Amino acid sequence: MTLQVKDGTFRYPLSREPILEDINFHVEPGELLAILGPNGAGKTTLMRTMTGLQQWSSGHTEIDGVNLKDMSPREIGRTIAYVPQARSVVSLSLSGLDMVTIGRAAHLGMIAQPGPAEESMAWETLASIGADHLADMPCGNMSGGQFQMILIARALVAEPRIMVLDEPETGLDFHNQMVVLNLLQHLVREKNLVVVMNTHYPAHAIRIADKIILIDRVHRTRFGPVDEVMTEENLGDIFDVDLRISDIEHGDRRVPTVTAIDVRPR
Amino acid sequence: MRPKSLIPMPTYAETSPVEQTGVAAPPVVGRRRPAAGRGWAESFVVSGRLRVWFVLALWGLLIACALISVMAGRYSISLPEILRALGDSVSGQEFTDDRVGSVLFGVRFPRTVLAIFVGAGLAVAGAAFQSVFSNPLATPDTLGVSAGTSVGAVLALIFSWNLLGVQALALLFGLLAMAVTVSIARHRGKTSIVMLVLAGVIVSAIANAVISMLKLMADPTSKLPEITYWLMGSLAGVSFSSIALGVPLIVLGTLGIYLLRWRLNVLALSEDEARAAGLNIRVLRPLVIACATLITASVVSMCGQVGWIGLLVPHCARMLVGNNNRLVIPVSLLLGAAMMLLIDTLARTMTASEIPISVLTALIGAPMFILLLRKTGGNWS
Repeated sequence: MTLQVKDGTFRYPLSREPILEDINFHVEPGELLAILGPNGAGKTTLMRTMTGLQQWSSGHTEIDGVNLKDMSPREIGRTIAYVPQARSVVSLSLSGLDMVTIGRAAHLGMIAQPGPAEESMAWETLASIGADHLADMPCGNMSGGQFQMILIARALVAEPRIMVLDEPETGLDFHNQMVVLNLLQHLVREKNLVVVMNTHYPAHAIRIADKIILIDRVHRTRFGPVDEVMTEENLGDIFDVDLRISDIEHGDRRVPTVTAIDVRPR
Repeated sequence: MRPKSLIPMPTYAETSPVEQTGVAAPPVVGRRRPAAGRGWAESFVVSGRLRVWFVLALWGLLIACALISVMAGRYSISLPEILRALGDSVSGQEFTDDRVGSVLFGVRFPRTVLAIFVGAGLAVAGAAFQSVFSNPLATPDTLGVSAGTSVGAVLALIFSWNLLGVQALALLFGLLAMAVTVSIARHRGKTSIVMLVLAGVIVSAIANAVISMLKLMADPTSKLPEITYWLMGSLAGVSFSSIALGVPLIVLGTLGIYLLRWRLNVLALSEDEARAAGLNIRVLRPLVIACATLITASVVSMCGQVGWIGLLVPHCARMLVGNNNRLVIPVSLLLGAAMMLLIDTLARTMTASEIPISVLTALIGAPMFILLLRKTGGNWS
């Protein structure tokens, strides 16, 4: 299932300056797209517009050539799973398992209740990412890393073809960052999903992404494969930082690192 | 392209026992939720469902409260007398004891039936409002819906309209109040907990000012006392015919919320998450709000402002069974009915003259709520 954005432009009503202008990209199954850019560049806006949570001012999103606008909320819910930032823990919080079961909503009728089938699906999904010990914990009592796992499980249980994650590894400790990155890589390589993620970590993007969108402070974008886009020059321009990209060799693995040297005056 | 090694299935192990023992967990297939819940809920919930004995206990409580409500009063009636009168009524005979028959069918039964529907309806409406606004403080009272519906009902009382007119006008003003509250609270597409409650306070203040103005203009000999007593809330003076007019609307609203009770869990998430889950929230949210407002309007037009039930009962239910609305709604329904029956029975038996319901719900409800809050630390958040 191909996710494609054609000539996407977004501006807030009453505002002349667009937040996003002439966005064009496409992601195939088995590919991971990472979106990088400084704070306020429009990364979250891009996620929301490409998934239909916010309407493009002009241009559109296509899934396998079908305009997102022509799909029902239920169809979209079955195709695209959206994982918000984990910091928004709501009041009246559910247990982990009840939260994951919500992911089946797009597959159930309006007044249907989840039954044993849905419940064991939620269980298996939690177990498959090694988070089944969180099933009975109220989401309000969870740490950021634990809640992130619940949110990812909730997205997976919907059996989506496209998964969109807003800063999935931000705010997690070192261990959990790697766990999330490995999990995303697994979903792309083994389950053949389309995965799109926002990130603040260039090294993470180089490590697991296939394609990159860079957005700079004045909302200009650059789209392309990792090797082309993630250069010291491009990243330096985007973040106004002098930096070096290098590989660390560990056995037969090469792990990319990005090290900031100093800030450039803006 | 850089070579990308195949990554083994990752395991999230922040607190997982797997990592500590160093032994890979066996593949888990078709596992179900463990029997153990958490805290109190453990005793009442099993595999995400209410335990049978707990459901039976709730029904038992409701039936016991209903019996007490029918038996107690200025003229107390024993269980055999009730059964005999019921038997007479079913077989179409004259009542063995005429006084018992007329008290039961003229006063007690209608009142008991009304209390059940009012309590159940208000509790469910409160739980629904709390979910839709993902705000533990949202109730018909705090959102200004109760006050708004009262304006409509007072207007209709002044015009001397019949109950159907009172209900229609109450519903209209309730929806209007709801719309005003939501539009005040909504800022840049987001509604904060504090803003919503503040907006509710504002709308209530305006509505109460309008009610005061209407009272000033009302005929002080006939209309004013009627309005004043009615506003304080009372189930007195109901008959089966007025129940037949008002209760179906309560049932309709409650049924709507009951059927959508699992979807309330999704609505309680952020708007983006609810939409990403495939919900048509443009339809679902207004539908739930309309159902809850319909219940409130119908209750207000039959028995005035009955406060506190919508806040107190859903939170009691949450403390018993957790926050899953699939369980909270049915438990609130039964608990609300039982609670209303108890309060109404107290209202008409404690003193020689009847005490207004809203006085009792506040006097009993507030301390009880504080007690529960202190005991659990408000663990719904």
